[in-house]
Amino acid sequence: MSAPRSWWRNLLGSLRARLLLASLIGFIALLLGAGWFVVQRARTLLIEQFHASLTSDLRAMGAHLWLDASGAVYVDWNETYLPEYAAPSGSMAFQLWLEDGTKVQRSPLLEQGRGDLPRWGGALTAPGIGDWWLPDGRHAIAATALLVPRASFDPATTQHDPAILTREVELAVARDATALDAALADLETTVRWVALLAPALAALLLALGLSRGLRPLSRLAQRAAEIDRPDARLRFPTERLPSELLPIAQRLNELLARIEAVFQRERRFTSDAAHELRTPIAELRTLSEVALRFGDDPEHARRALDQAHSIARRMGDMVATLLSLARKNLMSADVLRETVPIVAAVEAAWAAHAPKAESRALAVRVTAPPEFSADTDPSLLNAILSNLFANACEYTAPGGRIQLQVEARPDGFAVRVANTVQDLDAGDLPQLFEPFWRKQGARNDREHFGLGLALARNLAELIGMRLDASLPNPREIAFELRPRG
Amino acid sequence: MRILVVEDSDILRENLSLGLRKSGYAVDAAAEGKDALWHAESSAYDVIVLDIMLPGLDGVSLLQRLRAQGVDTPVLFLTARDTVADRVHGLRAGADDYLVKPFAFDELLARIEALARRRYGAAERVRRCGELVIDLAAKTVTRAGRPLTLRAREFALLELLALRAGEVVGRAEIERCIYDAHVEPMSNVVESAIYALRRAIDAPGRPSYIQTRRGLGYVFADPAAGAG
Repeated sequence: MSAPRSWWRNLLGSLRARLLLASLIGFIALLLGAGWFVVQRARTLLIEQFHASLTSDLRAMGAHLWLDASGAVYVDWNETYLPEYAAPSGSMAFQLWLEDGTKVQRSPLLEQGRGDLPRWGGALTAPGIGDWWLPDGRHAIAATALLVPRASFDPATTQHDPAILTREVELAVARDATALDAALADLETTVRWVALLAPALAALLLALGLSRGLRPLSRLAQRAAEIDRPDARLRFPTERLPSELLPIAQRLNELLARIEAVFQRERRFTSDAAHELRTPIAELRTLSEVALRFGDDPEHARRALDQAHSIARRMGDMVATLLSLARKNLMSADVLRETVPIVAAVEAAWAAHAPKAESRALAVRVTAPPEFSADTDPSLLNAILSNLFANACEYTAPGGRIQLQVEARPDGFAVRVANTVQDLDAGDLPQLFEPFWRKQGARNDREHFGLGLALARNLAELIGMRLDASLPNPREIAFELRPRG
Repeated sequence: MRILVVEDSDILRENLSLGLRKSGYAVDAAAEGKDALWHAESSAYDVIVLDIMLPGLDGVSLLQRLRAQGVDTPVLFLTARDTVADRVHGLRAGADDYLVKPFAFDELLARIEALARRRYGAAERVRRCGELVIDLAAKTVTRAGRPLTLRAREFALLELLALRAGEVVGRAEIERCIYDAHVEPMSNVVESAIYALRRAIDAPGRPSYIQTRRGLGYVFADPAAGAG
């Protein structure tokens, strides 16, 4: 019994949900990072621009700073030249101090509100800049610098104290920053809304995109659900399939083709087995019905019994061979690995068939190297060779020729069995190893079922070898047992 | 009735031949297609029972050659091939019937009888001739409602004459139908068979159902109708 799945596993049970969640998390993280970066960068740029503008204002105001011969310092301004400083509720303000901090002059905005600007020092090229609050409470940014006022008189011709020419004063200007603050607040609000709404929109778009993008996968899954039997018409479509899914569909189609081939082979085997059993059953049924119907002749009854016994023995042999074939397909785990003297094994297997070859006047030629050994299963090797030799002795016409050739190979050994034939052609080769296959002319042979070569090939595969047949010439067939390449 | 059995299985061929002979048929048998072709070309058969998978010349090819030569003997395919395609192929090749192995011997007999009746244009299984009623399927004969006992060969002769009622059936034809190729008929074998059949079916002291046409053969007819 499987453990219950946790809720989050259920939630993330589908590939689509996983992709959606992962994409969404990534998108939100990217969005927040990008939003933060954009806001910070915009703030910096806007403030730098504000500072630059304020510094220009400070320089412009500095250009209007004068010193008279009495040592008085003043900013020469009026509403015409610098109107932005004139309005009591305007956006700009300035203030001038002597070096010792004595307030000299300030703009109407400061006068009315009785406020001051900061004294942060600095120079015109690098003024002191910072936040400040105007007397009416508005946020402003102020810039201050220490500078030497220009003389409004000719020092060469006018009497004056020379010390006043080098005396520094401090000038400050400030500008209302509420517009900048509003712009920055707007930017942040916009980014916040984007950060809030974008994930929802992104989730929707991602869901739609994933649904569309994963449609081929859904079709693949739907097709898989429809494939409930091995049928050549039921295959995964490969047209217009994404490149990621194409190899999967192709491999699955190949797998289905192999499964179908196995099923077809099984069905053919079952059909062939049933077909092969029809004739002995028909014989048995007919002879028994005739014997029962006309059984008054003891001689006929005895003959019928003999025939029934012969049929039973033949069917028993067939069933034994079929069982052997079925078991050999399952017993790969039981294959032995022993050091086997191959030449001796071939000679021993041949010895059982030599009398039959002799009785049929077959010319036999054996070619073998000096004895050598190879690792294999001796009993399975004997069974393979015995089937090959029996086949050669049975189907070589009287007076024909059999050639046995043994060869040592670096990876084991090879055995070649060739014999003369009369009625085989290249079209028969693919069917030679099919269970129950016999050439048409050989089907009236009731002692053989056409299972020997199928069994031999299965056994060869079990011991890691392959068994193939070829027609070196139209009157000779050759079977070769060799290591699986 | 004379039947050719073509079957490559020795046991099946032997027992089919035996069963059919015991059922009153003259039977020739062949194990190979070429032998069967020779038999069919050299003798006339009422039915041919033909296996499809034969060494040498297969059953379908054999049948096609016979039909090409104008031999219209009814052919019953007896085969292990049981698919619809196999049956269609066999019937289209010219076979009249198709029976799949394994089969019941009674069914084979019934099909052979049906083919034989069709050959002689007798669709009905019962033939009547005066007081004589012959059931070709049940192989029974009654006269005036009383069952008669006939041997298989006597019934086969009666069947031949009844199917050709009113026609002269020659001596050679009777020999062909009653005896197969392995039996050398004696010169008086037909007369002996006719004599035995007359004793079996004729009523004592009444004219015979089988009339002799000297030099021609025999005619099966109702003696009362002839007298009238």
